[in-house]
Amino acid sequence: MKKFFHRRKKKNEEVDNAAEQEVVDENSENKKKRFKRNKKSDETGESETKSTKKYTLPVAGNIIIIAVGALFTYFYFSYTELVVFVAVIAIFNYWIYSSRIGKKQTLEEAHSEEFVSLLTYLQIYIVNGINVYQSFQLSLPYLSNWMREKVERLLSDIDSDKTIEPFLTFASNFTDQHYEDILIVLFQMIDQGNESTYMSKFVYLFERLNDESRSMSFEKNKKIIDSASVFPMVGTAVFTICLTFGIISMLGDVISVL
Amino acid sequence: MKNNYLIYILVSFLMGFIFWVSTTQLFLSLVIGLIFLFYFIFRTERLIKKEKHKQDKIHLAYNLINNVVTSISVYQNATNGIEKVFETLDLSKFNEIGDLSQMSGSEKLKYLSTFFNLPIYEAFLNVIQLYEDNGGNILDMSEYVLNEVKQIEVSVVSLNKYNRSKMISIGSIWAFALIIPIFIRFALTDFFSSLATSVVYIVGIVIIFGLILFTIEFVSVRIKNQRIKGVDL
Repeated sequence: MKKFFHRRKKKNEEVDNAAEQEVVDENSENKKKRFKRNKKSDETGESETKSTKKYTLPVAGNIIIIAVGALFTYFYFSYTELVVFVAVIAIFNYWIYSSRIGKKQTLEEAHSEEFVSLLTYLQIYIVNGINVYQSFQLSLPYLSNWMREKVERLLSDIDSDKTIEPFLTFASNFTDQHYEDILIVLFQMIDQGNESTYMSKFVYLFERLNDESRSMSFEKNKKIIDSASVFPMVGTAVFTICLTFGIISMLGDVISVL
Repeated sequence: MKNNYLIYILVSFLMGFIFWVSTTQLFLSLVIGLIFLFYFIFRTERLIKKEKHKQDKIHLAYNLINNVVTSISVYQNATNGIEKVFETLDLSKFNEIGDLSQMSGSEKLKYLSTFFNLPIYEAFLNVIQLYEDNGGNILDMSEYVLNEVKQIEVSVVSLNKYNRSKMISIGSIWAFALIIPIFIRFALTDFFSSLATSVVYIVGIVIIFGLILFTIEFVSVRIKNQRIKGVDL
């Protein structure tokens, strides 16, 4: 009997311990979940803060313009002011949203252009017998802060990791897939030496990228100035509107005399 | 530069004259003419000088790099080659360069890197250094530098050509737009005499001339902001 109760007691203790352990596990799971939720809500909070800031300026700007326009219209109602007020809102919103989209695109394009410039310097050194690693080091002074940081990280990653990973990580900073191809060739040159096969591959890929980049840069410079062609047409439209107003006011005077 | 001032005076006078023809407002015409004149003298002239200076620097870099490489390949010696090039090089246009007479050929080349501030020039200096340290065929070693600097030169020249043609086309369109009020003044005299007293019409003409000035500013700033690959980061 005593043995039975002892065994029973032991079993109960085991069950209790197991139950306790379950509770502890559950608590720690819940804590983890809560932590994750909080972290997520912190991150969401952060992203919410960012998105709040992103929309604050346009919303606040529009509210201010509408309020000022409404006040003006209430005290000095005229159609001219309404037209001016609508034009100001349109210009403000166009400026806010086009500058946002334009900035990101401009940054990506600048990074791509700089990558091609980096390849230009690499090519000059590699063709003259300098190895790829040293060529990267020699190119550092010609780079912007952003690119220099990425290249320095690449070089320190190469020191610790002799696989292709550092190059792929570096390639992930750019949107164009072709950049990864050329970085793979550079890795092959480090891994297997500056053989003529890889050299000619590198030169071919680089020249293709360089030509593309140059023609894109030229097209972009052309577009920059093309938009000025619209102003003479705007001027003609303004003149036509003023002429119409002038004619209408003259007709109005004639009719009122009659 | 004197030709430029003459052009500025002529164009400002023309603007004032067209405004007077369009509105018969003498005082406003004088104001418009003066505004254009001051804008051309104090803004346009400055922008043109800066842009010309930038392009002259690029042309000088292109010529210097080509001449140094050719000279070294002829004399088979970097020092002699570089000295020969500097004997014939004209740097008088660039006041900021200073006196280079006390420096050796290599020192002059290195000194000019701060003046040019071109990444491709730095790469060129490295190639010259490599040649001085290890020897070799300078033409083969500098093939890609020469290629890149030629591409930059071609980009500058093509862009210049394109900008000039665009400015001429925009100027022509504006000239045609300005013919309309002149036509109304001389072809519809009776109608014009009543129209010229209308405030809306005069304000409209002022807006048009404001737009012309804005177009000139817009085009000048856009040309200034054009980035040439290999020159501007």
